[in-house]
Amino acid sequence: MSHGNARLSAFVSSITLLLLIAPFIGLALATPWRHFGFADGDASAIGVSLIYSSIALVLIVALGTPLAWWLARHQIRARWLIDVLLLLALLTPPLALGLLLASMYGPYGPAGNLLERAGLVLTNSAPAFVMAQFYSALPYYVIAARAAFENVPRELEQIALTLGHSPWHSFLHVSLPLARLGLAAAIALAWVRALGEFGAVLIVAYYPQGIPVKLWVNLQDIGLNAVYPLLWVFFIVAMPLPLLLGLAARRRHLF
Amino acid sequence: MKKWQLLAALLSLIGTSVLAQNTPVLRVAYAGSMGVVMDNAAGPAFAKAHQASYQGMGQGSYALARLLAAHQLQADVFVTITPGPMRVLKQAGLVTSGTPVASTQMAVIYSPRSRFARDLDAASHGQKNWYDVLSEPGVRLGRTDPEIDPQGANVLLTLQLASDYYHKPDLLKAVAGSPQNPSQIFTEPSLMSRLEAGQIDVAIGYLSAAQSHHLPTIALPDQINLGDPDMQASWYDRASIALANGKTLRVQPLVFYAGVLTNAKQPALARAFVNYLKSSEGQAMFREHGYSAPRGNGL
Repeated sequence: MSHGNARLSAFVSSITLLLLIAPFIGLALATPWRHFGFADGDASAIGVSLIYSSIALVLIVALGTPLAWWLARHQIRARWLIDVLLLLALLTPPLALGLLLASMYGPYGPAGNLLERAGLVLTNSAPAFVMAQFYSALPYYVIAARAAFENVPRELEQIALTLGHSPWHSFLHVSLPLARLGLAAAIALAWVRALGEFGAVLIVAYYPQGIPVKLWVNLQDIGLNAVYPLLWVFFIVAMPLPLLLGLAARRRHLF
Repeated sequence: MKKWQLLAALLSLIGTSVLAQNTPVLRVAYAGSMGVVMDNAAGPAFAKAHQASYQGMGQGSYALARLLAAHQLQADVFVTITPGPMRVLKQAGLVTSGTPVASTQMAVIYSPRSRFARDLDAASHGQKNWYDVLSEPGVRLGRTDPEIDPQGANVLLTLQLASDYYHKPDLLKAVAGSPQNPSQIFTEPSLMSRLEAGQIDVAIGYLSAAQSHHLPTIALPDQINLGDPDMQASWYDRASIALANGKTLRVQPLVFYAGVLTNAKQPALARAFVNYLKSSEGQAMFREHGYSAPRGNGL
C-alpha cells in the first residue's frame, strides 16, 4: 500500500514538474540562439535591477525583521487589524499599488510634496524604483519571517533568559539560528518579488529602467528577439542569491 | 436537500458557461489610448447586434503588433494609430489592408487641479501663449517614451514644428528638454492617472484620449497638430528628430486604421466589425468620444 502511495506521489510529482518546466522549454525553443544579442541599455538595466533590488532587500530586512519578531512574540490586542493591514498590502494588485504610491509620493501628493522639498524625488528616480520594490516585497517578507519566528520553541528562548542572557543575546544566539531556515526563505522570497516587480515600477519609476521594464520596452521597440536574451540574463543574475540561501540554510552554514 | 440545490446551481453555472462558449468571440487588439471608445461603446454595441461576445485588448500599438506578428497573441481585428504598427503586421503577412476609421490631433492636455490651471485656462482662450506657460519654471510636463510609443514621438515632432511656426528656435528644448528626459516620461496609464490626480500639470497627447478622460485641452493650429494629411508635404515633412537609439522620428498621419487579421478565428465577424466602425453608427460613437472623421487613404 505504501509502495503504491509512493509511486502515485512520484507520478503526480513528475506531472507537476513537467507543467513547471513547460514555459522554459518554450523559452529554450524560442530563443534566437544564432542571433543571440543584446539591445542597447540591457547592461545598464541589469545593473539597475541588481543594485537597487539589493538596497530594497536591505531595507526590507532591516525594517521587516523587527516587525515580524514583534508580531510573532508579543500579545497584541488588535492583532487582527495588523493581519488585515498585511493582507491588504499583499492583496493590492501591482498596478494599483503603483497608482497608490504615485498619489501618495507623487510631486503633489501629501508625502511626496514634503519629501521633494527635502530633496528626495520619488518619481522616475532611483529612490522611487527602490520604493516600489520595497512596497511590493515587504509584506511577503514580514509574513514569511513571522512564521519563521513563530516556529522557534519559546521554551528555548526562556531557558536562555533564565540562564542570565539578555533578551538581545537570546534573540541573536537562540531565536535567529533556530529561525534561519524560514528567514532564508523569507529573504529569498523578498528578493524574487523585488527583482521581478513590474506593475508598480512601471507606474512609479519608468526610469531608471530595471530588467522587467526593459523587457517590456524591448518587446515594443524591437520585438521578441530582444526579450529572450535579456530574460536568460535575468535568470542567471537573479538565481544565485535565493539558491545559495536555500542551500546554506539546509546545511546549517547560515548564521 | 441543500446539497442537491448546490449541485443544481453548480450545474446550471457550468451549463451557462458552456452556452457562452457557443456564442462566437470577437477579439479586438487596439491601441491603448482607445480603451474607452472600444470597450465601453463600439465593442459591446457590436457584440449585442451580432449575438457575439467581445474581448478587447488595449496595449501600446507596437507591443501588440510585435506580439501578434510573433503569434504570441491571437486576435481577429487590429486597430492602431499611425500606419507604423500596421506595417509590422503587413510585413508579417498577417494583414492585407488597413482601413482608416477615425483620426485625431495633438493637443495640450492639462489637469484642472494643476497650480498652473489658471494660466493654462487663459492659454486655451488664446489670452496667453501655451508654450510660454509650458516653459514656466516648475511646470511638470508628462509625455510617453518617444522610442516606443507613437504618441510620445508625436509630442517631440509637434514641439519642433511649433518652434518653426512661432519662430521660437529654443521652444522644443525649453518645453521638453532632451528627448528621453527622465523627469517627463511615463507610461500611458501612469501619465493619464497622474494627470487626472493632479500629480502632473500638463501633457501633450491625443485630443481623443483627453476627451475620453474628460480633461481640458488647448487646441493647437493645424500646422503643428499633425492632424491634417493635406499638410504632410507642405509642413509636416520638415519635422525630423534623431533619437539616441538610431531611429529618426517623422510625422505619420494621426489616423486610426483597422485591419482584419489573416489568421482570424472569426473572419466574417472581424470584417463586419471593421465595417461597423466605418458605418454611421460607429462614426457617431467615435465623434461622441472626441475622435475626428477618418482621413486619407487605406494602407
